[in-house]
Amino acid sequence: MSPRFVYDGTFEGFLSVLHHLLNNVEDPEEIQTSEKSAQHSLWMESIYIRSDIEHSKNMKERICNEISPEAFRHIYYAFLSDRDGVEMDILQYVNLGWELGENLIYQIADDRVRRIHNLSAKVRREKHRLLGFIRFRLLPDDLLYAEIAPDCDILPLVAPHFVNRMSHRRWIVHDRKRKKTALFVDGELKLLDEEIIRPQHVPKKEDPYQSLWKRYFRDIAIWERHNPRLQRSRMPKKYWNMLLEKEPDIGG
Amino acid sequence: MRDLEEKLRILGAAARYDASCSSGGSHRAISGARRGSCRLPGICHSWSDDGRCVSLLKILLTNQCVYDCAYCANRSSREVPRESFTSDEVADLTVNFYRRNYVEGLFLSSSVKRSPDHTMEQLLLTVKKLREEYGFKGYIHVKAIPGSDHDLIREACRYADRISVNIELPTEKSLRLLAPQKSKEDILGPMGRIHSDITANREERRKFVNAPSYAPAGQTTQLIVGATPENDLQIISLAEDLYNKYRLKRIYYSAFIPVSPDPRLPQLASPPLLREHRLYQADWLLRYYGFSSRELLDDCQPNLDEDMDPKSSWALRNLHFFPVEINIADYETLLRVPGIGVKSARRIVHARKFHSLGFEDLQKIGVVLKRAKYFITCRGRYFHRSEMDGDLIREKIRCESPAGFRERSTTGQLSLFEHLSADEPHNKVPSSITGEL
Repeated sequence: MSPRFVYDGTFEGFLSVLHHLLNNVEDPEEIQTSEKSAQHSLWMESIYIRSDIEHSKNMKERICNEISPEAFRHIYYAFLSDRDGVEMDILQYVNLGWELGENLIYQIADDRVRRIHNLSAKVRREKHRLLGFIRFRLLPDDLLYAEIAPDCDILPLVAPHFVNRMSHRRWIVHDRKRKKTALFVDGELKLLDEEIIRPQHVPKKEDPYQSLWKRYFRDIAIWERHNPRLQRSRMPKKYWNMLLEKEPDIGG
Repeated sequence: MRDLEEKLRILGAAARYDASCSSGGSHRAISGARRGSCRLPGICHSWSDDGRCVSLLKILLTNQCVYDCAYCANRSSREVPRESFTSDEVADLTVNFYRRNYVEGLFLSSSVKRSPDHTMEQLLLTVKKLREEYGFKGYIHVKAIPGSDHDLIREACRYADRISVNIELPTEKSLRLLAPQKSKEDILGPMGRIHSDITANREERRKFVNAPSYAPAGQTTQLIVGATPENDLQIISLAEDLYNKYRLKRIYYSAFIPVSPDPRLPQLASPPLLREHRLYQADWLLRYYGFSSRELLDDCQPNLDEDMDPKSSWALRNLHFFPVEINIADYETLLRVPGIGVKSARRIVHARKFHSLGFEDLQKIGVVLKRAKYFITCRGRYFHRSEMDGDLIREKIRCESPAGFRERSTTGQLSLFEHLSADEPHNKVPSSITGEL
């Protein structure tokens, strides 16, 4: 029976698994994070692959050189989709890539390629949406704080954008769903696998610009063009809970 | 704060009729580490209740106006509350909205208070202050006031990413009728001068990396549709000329919304949103699909077909051009097929290098087959046995329009808008171009 490979859930860990498979010519039944594998049957043999910086770097270089940097980006983005079983789909994509080299990404009619590119597009779309939808609040000590709960693990993709935008400030983007934090202090960005502020501990005090923004938002719609369906298609309801302007009215 | 809220209410609402919304396309270098950056593809931060995107804090500096243009919500004879921001208030709002990630930057327009020069001076002062005193590095779109001194406009362009002069009405005759205080020269003059400045600046920047930037995201304009009797051919030909002559980045079409009664204005039950949308689609065909205005419309048919998109309409009038073989046709030809957009045309060209494409491949690539299938062959095969039949295709394409389309268009709610891209920042997904037809 082919074994199941288990890793720590990080992208480096996953690349280390790919590195192991490539060097040992093994054919896995499944590749899983240790978290998910703990819930599964005891009957399958599982092999834990330790996350290894060198191995993961080596793997990244090989994919970029022997396939293409664009293919590597698709792999990274698809990985961040957090979809069940994405690891095996990526493995198939990479294996096809060793055969096709830089032509891999143009084989969009091939299901193995299309699956990964669709996932990568989904992640890219959500990343781009969130660049617009993230709302910071000003907390005491001039700390800017934003909460998100995206479908995909886009925190590492959006954080660098805010480094460019607010390199002279201190800010936090907090992924409530994954309990992860992007923290920017003293000119340094840290991505942490933990919550450093619990949402319930964030001061509730309204910042005056919040009500100005809500007010402004209400006044700019032209009622002769009123079109809630169009609004929902552009700004899906699942994001409304992070959008200040879509909060139920506080009156005034 | 109370006072500021009131001003924002009035001057935000007063600016909402400007359709421009883009926040992208600026190549301004990011230097130092002050306040902000600009991304090449624009970012939309929200969509208002009318479904239009919000990417900039769009406000007027003042709505006090000496002009009495019939179509305008801020015309001097209208009794509405009048307010003015100070430049510090504008800068403070911009910086604070930007910091909280509500917007990408500022869109600053103005009514004409006292004189064009005075107003332009105030606009210049505000953007200068925002950049120099507040160290703001986000996006700035500023209006050039028709009739103001060009040196003021030129200096404002040093600080702004994008500048626009609104042409508003498509002919001089209409301008004379509805906006007698403005002349054609007042509008086209600055456009031409800005164009020469931009060209000179690009040249300079090619030679000297450190040359100051000048409206790096170019200039745009806006046209009101439906307030005057011009037909679509006149509008689209004008657009074509503006793109060719002044290299405008974008022309925005804004359906006329009657805000104050005037005997010179038409009586409309609702704003002509469908027409606005068809013009928007035709505009994309000019800019990205290699069409000319005379191909889309002519004197026998001077208005766009409301029943279908302008590309399908062109295709049906030019059936001799079709069917196109997907595996052989060049990129420019593919672009002319209804249902194939810029992205899918590119994908077809790539994918067919490896193997010939069938109908099922096209579906995966993202071609809108239900429209394209009438106009293409795959490996020499037409999608069904019969010959191409113009009348039949026209019927089918019409039937595919969303149900209740016409009724809705009169109440101003178009489901069509929902799957055809409606505004520019939507092509923010890097490398993609929307408005695909």
